[in-house]
Amino acid sequence: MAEKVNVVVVGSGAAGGIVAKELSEAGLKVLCLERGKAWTNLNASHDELSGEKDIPGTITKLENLEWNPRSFRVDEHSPLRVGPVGFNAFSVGGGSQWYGAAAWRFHEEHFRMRSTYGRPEGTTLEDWPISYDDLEPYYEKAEYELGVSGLAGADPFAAPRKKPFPLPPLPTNPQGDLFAKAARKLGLHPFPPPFAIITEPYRGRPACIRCPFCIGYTCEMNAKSSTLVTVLPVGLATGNLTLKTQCIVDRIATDDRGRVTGVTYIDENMRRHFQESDMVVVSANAGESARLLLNSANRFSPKGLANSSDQVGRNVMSHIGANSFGLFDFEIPHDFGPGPSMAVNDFAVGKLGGGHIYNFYVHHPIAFAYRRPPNAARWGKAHKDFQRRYFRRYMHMNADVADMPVETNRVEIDSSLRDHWGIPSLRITRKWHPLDIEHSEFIASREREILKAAEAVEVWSAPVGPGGFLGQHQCGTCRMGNDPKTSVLNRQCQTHDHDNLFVIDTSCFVSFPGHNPSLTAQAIAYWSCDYIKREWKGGGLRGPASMSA
Amino acid sequence: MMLLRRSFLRWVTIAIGNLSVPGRMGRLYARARAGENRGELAPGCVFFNVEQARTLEAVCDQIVPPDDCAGAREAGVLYFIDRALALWARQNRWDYVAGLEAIDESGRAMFKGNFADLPREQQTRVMEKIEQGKAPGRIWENFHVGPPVEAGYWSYLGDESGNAQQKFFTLLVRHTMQGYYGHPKYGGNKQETSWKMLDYVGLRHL
Repeated sequence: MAEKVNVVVVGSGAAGGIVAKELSEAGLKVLCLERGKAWTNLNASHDELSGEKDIPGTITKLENLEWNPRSFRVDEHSPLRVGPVGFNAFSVGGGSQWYGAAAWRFHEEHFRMRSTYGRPEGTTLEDWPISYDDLEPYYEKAEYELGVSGLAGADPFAAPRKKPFPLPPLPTNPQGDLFAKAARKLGLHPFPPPFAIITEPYRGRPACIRCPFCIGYTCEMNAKSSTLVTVLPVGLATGNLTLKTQCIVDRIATDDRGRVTGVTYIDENMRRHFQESDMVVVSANAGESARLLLNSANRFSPKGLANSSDQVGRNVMSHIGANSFGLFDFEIPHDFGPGPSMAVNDFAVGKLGGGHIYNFYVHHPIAFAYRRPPNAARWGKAHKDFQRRYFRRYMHMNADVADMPVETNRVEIDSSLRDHWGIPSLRITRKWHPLDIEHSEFIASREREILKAAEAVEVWSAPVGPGGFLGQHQCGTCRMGNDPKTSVLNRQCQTHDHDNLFVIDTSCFVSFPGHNPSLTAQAIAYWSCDYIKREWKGGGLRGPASMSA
Repeated sequence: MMLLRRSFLRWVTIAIGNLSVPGRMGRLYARARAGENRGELAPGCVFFNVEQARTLEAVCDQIVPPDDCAGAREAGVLYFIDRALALWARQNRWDYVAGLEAIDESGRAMFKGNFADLPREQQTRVMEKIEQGKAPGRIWENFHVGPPVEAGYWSYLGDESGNAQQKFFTLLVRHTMQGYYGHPKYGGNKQETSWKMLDYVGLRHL
């Protein structure tokens, strides 16, 4: 059996990579288990089929029924379907190696939505047990350690920050210029959005060359500040961190007092191992973290680990989104990545279901082949003519729109469905709350106004379906709170039920504003690691008495 | 030819028999191997036989027709789909084996000829019928399309409603677009013909 370690970190993604680095730097022996491989800049190619996430056969295994099967349904009365839904990267660095790198801070009010707006019927809207002020220093730390570009003061709605961004914002592109002009005409406040993309050489990495293959692709320059190219090398250099790839954790083990004793994992040769540890940190992303806790049910925790509240897997959120499209008489070149170069926060703050609007990432021909106004031809001569006429005369406005936490929106274990390793998969039940649809339609109509003000000749919005399953913005499955009866984690992401078990990723989100979740999950990772480092005394944490520190 | 048809009809029947167990469809499709397709292999293909290749080329050329810029046939979309079925879309092999037969059957029922032998206008009529889910034929009645067509987070990208032949149509359109507008290294989009048509930056950036 392998030697005991201090900490096992499950997942090396946006948050897990930070946990691995922070704790190994503090002198703890850390084993990070990652089920994917490392896809580096050497795997980058200018190939839409290699990375576009709606196309099967991508180089990671996320859209693959064998590796990532899930059953899903809108509610318990509707039929269950099976598919590779949900977006989970299988790679070192997790989603941060593939994402569009939007690096938003949430606003102050986003941490106290219930006390600001009340609790709408049918939701479990709640305040977070932490505030923006608690996280501000950790947002700053994330921005500086990872490398985030942006323009402080450009967004009149932004929460206060102590230091400017470490790097200047990406230059605007013609789509951003057109969007900004139209937005100003409507009295809105456009500004260059923040990205975890470095715009100048930073900590040994070269600057972004603005290639058009950003969201959904690994970065050929290592300019995208994924944990693979930022914090993980720092952790590995300490000598205290071991990173094992293609190893999936299938269970967390506990003793009869509920103390976590280690994990079992399956390696690439399908061999099962037990790894003993003082502590386990689960950073597998909202869906998979909940799955691991639930799959680890034993006779001491029959409903799953950390689940005495029956809250594990509930309240899953993932942004309803609002997508609008405009066709123009004139060309608006969109050749420079990442693509979004302007955003407005006018509808993201001061509102129950807010969302920030931005011009979408560089579009590519295959994805564009599906973007058509209602009733347009899907094939044939008319389709080809449309493709030719509008490929360079088109703009896509996107918004991430807040969705409400709802208790019946949840992930559970589907014991009849197993993945490549034979581990039971998730069943996802998720239906939009009526308010979600209302908010999405409100934002979509603002997008259409902007497109019309930009003089689009035809404008339409994508319809919103009855429910979303898990998106790349999945969060909320192990919400944090002060009451162990209604929450899974305390304000340090430590599970209420097990002192030496933490869940550090987007699972802890209590509510979800209309901004991308990564930077907040990463700030929380730094915040939580600070607590672990403070409380750590060789061989374990100091114990429950100091839990509320 | 009859032998071939009986053999895949058996497969289709087995598939229908297992429908009630959702998790098993993937494994069932995974059992299909390239070598299990019958007939004389089409030149340059690893999966499609000569008849299938002929029908599929005509179908793809309907989806992206030629004009002053190459259509799907000339751009090599057949070879893209062939490679997809051999490598990453294995689960759709039997959709194609049965679906292409069904398209020929519809052609014979509507215009007394296999699809590839019909004039373009009549081919378009058959395609429209399939898109509407109303193409005639016995094979369609027992037809079921593999799971990846039903999945999809970006529901606005493709219409997921409709009967099995409509889903197969969606699959055909999806694969044809991928082949025609995707990277030439996968076998379609020969000489970057579609990228030139769109003035797409593609490989030219840097």
